[in-house]
Amino acid sequence: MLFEFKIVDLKAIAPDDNYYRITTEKSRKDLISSISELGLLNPPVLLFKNFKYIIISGFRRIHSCIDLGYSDIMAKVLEPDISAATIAKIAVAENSFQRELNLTEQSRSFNLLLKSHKSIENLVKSACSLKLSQNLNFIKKIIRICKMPEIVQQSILDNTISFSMSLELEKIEKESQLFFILLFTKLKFSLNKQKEIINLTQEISYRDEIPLIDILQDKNVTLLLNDEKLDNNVKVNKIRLYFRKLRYPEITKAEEKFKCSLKQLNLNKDIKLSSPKDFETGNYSFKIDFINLSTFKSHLDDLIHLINNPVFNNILKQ
Amino acid sequence: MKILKLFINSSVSDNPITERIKSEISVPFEIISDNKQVFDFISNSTEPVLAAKQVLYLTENRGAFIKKCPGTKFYTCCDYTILNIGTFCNMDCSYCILQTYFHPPVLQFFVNQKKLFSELDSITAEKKITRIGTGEFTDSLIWEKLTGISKKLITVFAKQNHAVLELKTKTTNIGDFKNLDHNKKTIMAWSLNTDRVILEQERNTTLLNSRLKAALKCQSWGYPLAFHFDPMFIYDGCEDEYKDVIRRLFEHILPENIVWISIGSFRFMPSLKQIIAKRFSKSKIIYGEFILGLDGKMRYFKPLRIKLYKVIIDYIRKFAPDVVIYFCMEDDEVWSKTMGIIPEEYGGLPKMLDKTACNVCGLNKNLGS
Repeated sequence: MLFEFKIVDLKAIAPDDNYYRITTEKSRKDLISSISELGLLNPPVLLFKNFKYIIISGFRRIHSCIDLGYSDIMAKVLEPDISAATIAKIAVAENSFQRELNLTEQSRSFNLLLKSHKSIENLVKSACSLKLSQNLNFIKKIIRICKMPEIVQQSILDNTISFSMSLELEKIEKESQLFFILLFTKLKFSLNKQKEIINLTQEISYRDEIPLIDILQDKNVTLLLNDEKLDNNVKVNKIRLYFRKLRYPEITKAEEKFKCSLKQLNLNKDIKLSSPKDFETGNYSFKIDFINLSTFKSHLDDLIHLINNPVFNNILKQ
Repeated sequence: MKILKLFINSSVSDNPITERIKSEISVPFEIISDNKQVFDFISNSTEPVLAAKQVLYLTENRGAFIKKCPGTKFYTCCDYTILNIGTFCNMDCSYCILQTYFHPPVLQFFVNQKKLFSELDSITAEKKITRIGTGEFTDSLIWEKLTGISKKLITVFAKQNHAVLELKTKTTNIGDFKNLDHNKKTIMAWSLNTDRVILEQERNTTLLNSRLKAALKCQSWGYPLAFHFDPMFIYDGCEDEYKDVIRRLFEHILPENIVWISIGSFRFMPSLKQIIAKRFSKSKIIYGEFILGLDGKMRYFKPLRIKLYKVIIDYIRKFAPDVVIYFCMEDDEVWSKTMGIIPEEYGGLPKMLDKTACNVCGLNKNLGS
């Protein structure tokens, strides 16, 4: 037997020793209600070490019992000579066979197991018996999550940022990391826009040798962020365009110039003139919507008049 | 970069060229029967690109030694022929596309030269104007001191009059070419860039002045010359710095000895960006204003390219009004806005280059391309 059932005094347990904690769930409301009605159905797993009981699994159950005013509980107490590797496996198995682990929980599991394995490669074998991923590249990446700041981990759990985005943010210094998280949380950026903003600002920072945080705290960005008249979507777009303009000044200038010329052309709403993609090919294109021969003819006349339009001629010369 | 290890394919282990290289560089060697062993060695290194530059693989070329340059249909190509003497390079330019071109990159030198020269015989037999070069998948002269391959090629090309060999390099390994009877059928070509670019982006290459001095020597030995301003970079002050390169070029070289000057700006497969960011963290070249070109490569925003090209071409024209300047992989709009012509008006770019090769290198003008 790896353990024996014992009645353990709650005061003898170290409730805040989170070394073996896998779960990220903090709420205990449902559990308290269940324990108060049915009692503690599944005894937590404990290890007696340094005159205290360390929690291996059952963190929420023990805290719920403390909240309910219990003085002692039935627990599974591990044998004292059990190896560190086996204890880690028990801590993980108690969670992984109970539910689908979220990313942070998987990260905590791998980190805990790694402490008793020589390398990540060795860990793969244990992962197999614990219902964890055996993909080495995935393990190498996910193991980093629980070393990230609390706010980043929480943002992953809240789905504010993705796992891949957290890995991007990991490369950035703390102050900017925090800025991005707050920005993404406040304005609800889509994943693509998060990536775009991070890329744009980092590249401006490298190119101009300006600290990233200074770019993020640019006064124009701050003004946009604090503008209460703008809704979040508009803010996101304006911030994105602002950084894009800083990153690609000539490209955005050409795009703005084209837009301005389009306005001056004052084309019928059924006629759309498109610039060449990125101005790389010389090919402009028209799209004409018409409903009958008469509107078709009228639009064609409009197009023919463009031949002598100086604004149109200027567009083509650019 | 110093070679630290040699892999030798068992099929060429008793080849005299292998023996010569092995004794010259004197590093640990391993004889292998399967290319995969080299690929694995490089792929499993913590830095595969760096590892690939330090490991030389002597092997045979089982494919064709002579290939057409792939080009693309979207941009004007010069219809060049590639003579594949080896792959990759032990110099270390941040922008080098070979870092992502081969998977993994392998520094190979092909020692089965009987096959190479027999394929070359077919070019000679074809009797049509051909421009052929060894500097596409590697630098033409990095192995010259060890192998003398270019010296042999120069001698072979000297014996005919319808194909020119272009040796394109960033080195100054020309010592052995002095007394060769080249018959003007080998063009000595240097890739040129600003001092700043050479210093910051072209690790382990020679200085601009050294390249120009080497070109000057080759000029004095009667070789036709070519220069490649490719890739050019756009940065603050680049126009003045490229002008300075041009001024120095014409302080050394007479325009009438130049067969062609090519111009092209930095372009790269998107996958190269990460490699440059990782391997050359101080380099800013990837932070220019790039768009995705029609060939799937990132290239500078066209108006920026045109602006730089125009300045450079106008400046070259001040020194060499008649020299043939051409773009590597640009479209008619760029040609027309910078040079006022499009290649089509002159029968196409390949014809233009064939013609100048005939004029400067004395190829037989009566042969077709």
